[in-house]
Amino acid sequence: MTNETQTQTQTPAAEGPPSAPATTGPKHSRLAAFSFRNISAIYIGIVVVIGFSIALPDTFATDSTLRAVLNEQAIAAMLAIGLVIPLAANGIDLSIGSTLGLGVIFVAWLIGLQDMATVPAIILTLAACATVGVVNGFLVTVARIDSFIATLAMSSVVGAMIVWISNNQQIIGLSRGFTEIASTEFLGVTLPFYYMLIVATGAWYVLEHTPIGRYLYATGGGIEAARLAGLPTKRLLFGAFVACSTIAGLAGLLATAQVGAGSPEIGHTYLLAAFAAAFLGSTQLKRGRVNVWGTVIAVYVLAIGVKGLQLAGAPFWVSELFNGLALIVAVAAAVHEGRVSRTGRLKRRRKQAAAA
Amino acid sequence: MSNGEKRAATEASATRQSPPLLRVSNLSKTFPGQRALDGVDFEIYPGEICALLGQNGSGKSTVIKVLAGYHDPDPGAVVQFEGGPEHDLGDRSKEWRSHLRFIHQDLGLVDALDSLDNLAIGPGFTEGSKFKRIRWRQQAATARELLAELGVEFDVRMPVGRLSAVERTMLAVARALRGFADRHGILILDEPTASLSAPEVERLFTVLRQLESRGIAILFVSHRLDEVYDLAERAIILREGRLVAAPTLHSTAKPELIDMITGGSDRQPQAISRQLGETMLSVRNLAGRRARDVSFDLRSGEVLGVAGLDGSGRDELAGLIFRGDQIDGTVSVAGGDPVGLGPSQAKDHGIAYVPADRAHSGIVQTMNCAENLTLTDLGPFFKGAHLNRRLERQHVLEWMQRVEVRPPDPARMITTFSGGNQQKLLLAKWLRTEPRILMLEEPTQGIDIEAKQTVLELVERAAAEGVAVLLTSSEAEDLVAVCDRVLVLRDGVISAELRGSETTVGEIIAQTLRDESSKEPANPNNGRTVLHP
Repeated sequence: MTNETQTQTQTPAAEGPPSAPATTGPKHSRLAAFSFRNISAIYIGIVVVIGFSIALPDTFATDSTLRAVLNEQAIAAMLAIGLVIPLAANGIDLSIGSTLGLGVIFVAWLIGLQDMATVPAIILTLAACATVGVVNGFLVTVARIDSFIATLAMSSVVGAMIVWISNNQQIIGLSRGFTEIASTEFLGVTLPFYYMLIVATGAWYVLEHTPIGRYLYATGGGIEAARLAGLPTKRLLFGAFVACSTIAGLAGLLATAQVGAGSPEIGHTYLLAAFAAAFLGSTQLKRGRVNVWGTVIAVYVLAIGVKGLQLAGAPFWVSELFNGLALIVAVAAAVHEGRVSRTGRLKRRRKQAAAA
Repeated sequence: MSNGEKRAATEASATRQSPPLLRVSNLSKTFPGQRALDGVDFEIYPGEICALLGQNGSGKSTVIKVLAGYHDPDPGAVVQFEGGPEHDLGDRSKEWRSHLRFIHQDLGLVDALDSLDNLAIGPGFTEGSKFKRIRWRQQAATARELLAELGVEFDVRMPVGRLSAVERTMLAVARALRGFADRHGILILDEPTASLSAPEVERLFTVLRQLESRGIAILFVSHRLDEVYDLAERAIILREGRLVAAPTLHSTAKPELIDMITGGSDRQPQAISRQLGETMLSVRNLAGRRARDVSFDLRSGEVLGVAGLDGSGRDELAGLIFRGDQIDGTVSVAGGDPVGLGPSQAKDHGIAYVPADRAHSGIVQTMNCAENLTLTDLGPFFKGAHLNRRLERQHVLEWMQRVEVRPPDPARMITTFSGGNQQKLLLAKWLRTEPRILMLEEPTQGIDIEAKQTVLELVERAAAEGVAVLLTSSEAEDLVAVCDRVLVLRDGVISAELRGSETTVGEIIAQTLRDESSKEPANPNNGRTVLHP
């Protein structure tokens, strides 16, 4: 960690300890943590759960439904967490769906067709997916291509590699040792859920509790101001893309282990859900800022809604519809929130000016 | 156009007995916490060229923006056009507005589009239905005609961004004059020469004189007094929002005019006695887009001011040193070898930089006060493998009190603070890194008087503690208030260095506006010197 080598001497104030101001400070923080504005998705989720539990007491309100949701969404949640990292630095990664797909097919190819052992196969797969992030980072920071376009293009390039490796066919015949990393249960829930929690905790720790996280958010909030504060904005963005792609690759290989086969068509279905969750997550907990736990909440609230609708007999395509609508609502809510607070500020200023 | 013709035109307007074309009276404009204009009255006569003069913040731009309808004046402002009935100046519906055409400083052109598209911004391509086919060939012919009237010719299908500065200005003039009733019209230009070289200025002035001879009245803003004398017959002078005088220029000497602009009563330079230490910053032959060859030394404990007009290189000097995007030249710190610069290296060398563009290059708008303030160094709070927010908050509170930011609430979003408080926070953000060299650009721009005082005091205190300070400013008063020494830039080079009792507002302004023709051989063009042959 470079920051530990930096000077530890805190510039001492000329006077003694400051008297804390009486009127300001986080006095509302305890209550505010539970306010509707802060965690609206949890309240909406509770209403949805209660609603479906009443409507479908036999199928929805069961622990098997709960377990199914936790298991099925672990991969999607992990991908969304990976996406949060570049989004924090205002880098958009549209290649995450394909990168996940690369993870899916590459590990299946190594184990199913090349008979490689589990651990080296996993390491090679992660390295391959990290390489996608390296290319993304290079295109954005060195070639200075807009991240939206660079990663959209990379999404297509990686998609082509998937078809090339797989011959556009499912790869089966995976070793038991490999599938067990996903099928093993602990406390009734399969392991990918716990891997997701570990990744979420790690990402949360880096983003919220280390200088790197603060620097990433600063880069996203104003890249020129961040650069002029002496931050290595290019290295930060580069690192964010590599981290995101590596996590996408991990999600991909877990998806293969979960299904027991490598499908070449799995990646793109995750892309939109990840964006929906990350943007919806930015309206939670830390309003206006993408964040890890808000994203995890968003993934599961969306999943509960979809699950309920499916159990109520809605057709299979409802999940795509639901995710699409959720993305629109999430972004509209974030924009609206920004606008409301801005106009509120303007009104306050006018009032102050009028009073002066 | 020859001088003889110009004189004839001047005489023609001198013999005018006609009523003023435009008469504005009792024009006031109040912004929150600031009175920008205070009961200004002025007239513009048909077919005259009139200069609008004043220091930064004197209200020139506000006058133009009110006339353009961008700002509403305070109630009570009255306008009279061609001796007709009096109207409320704030009333947008009145017909007189159609006789005013504006060319703002940035010209309002879209660089990526060609001249035809740019000419159509405003008037449109077609008359009548919007769904008519655009007749491109006819458009091109019309465009060439419009430009030919101004005596210029260039490829009208080329993106405007690739035209020269003067061609762009001509295009803006051509657009402004579309469908103009010459004898009833006023063309208003805000600093049209700021980005032009001397020969280009001459081309523009030829065109403006020609427009004058067509009977168009012209009001223009300029900071270069030699140009004002060259072109205008009369000046309208503003100071601190009030009309000071509207003298005829051929009967007003230049020192007199400078006195009117500055108020004459020059504050005496403060007796600053600081202990100057070692040389901290040595800049040699620095060149950028505007600066051509700038060399100077800055000593520890010294406050060095940099003055100059926009486009003189003043505005980019500090940025060249900190950002490391200079084209040529070297920078060395504390007597060492020349260093490669860029923000993070510069920071490592103990250089701090508070840029002029506070909103985008200074603050991170999405972050709160504490996060902005500690961005320069989070090291002290990263203890026990996590960011200690309590320590951070305490540290930020100390600094907020030291630089007098109110309210002292570290959790408040930085955008909710006033400009003055933001500026103090940006200073604190760098002072907390204990820099050896502090560079500030326009540190008092757009902030209230109280904050201005605090900012300047903080600068002085830093210098007293041994920091080497470089302060670039277009506000001569600020430079006089805190600087030991002032460099005046002109056309990318240092044209004067003022020390001690020479650092007065009048001297700084006189040096920035200095007429080069007295020093260098004059060329035939009305005594203007060609600086970029």
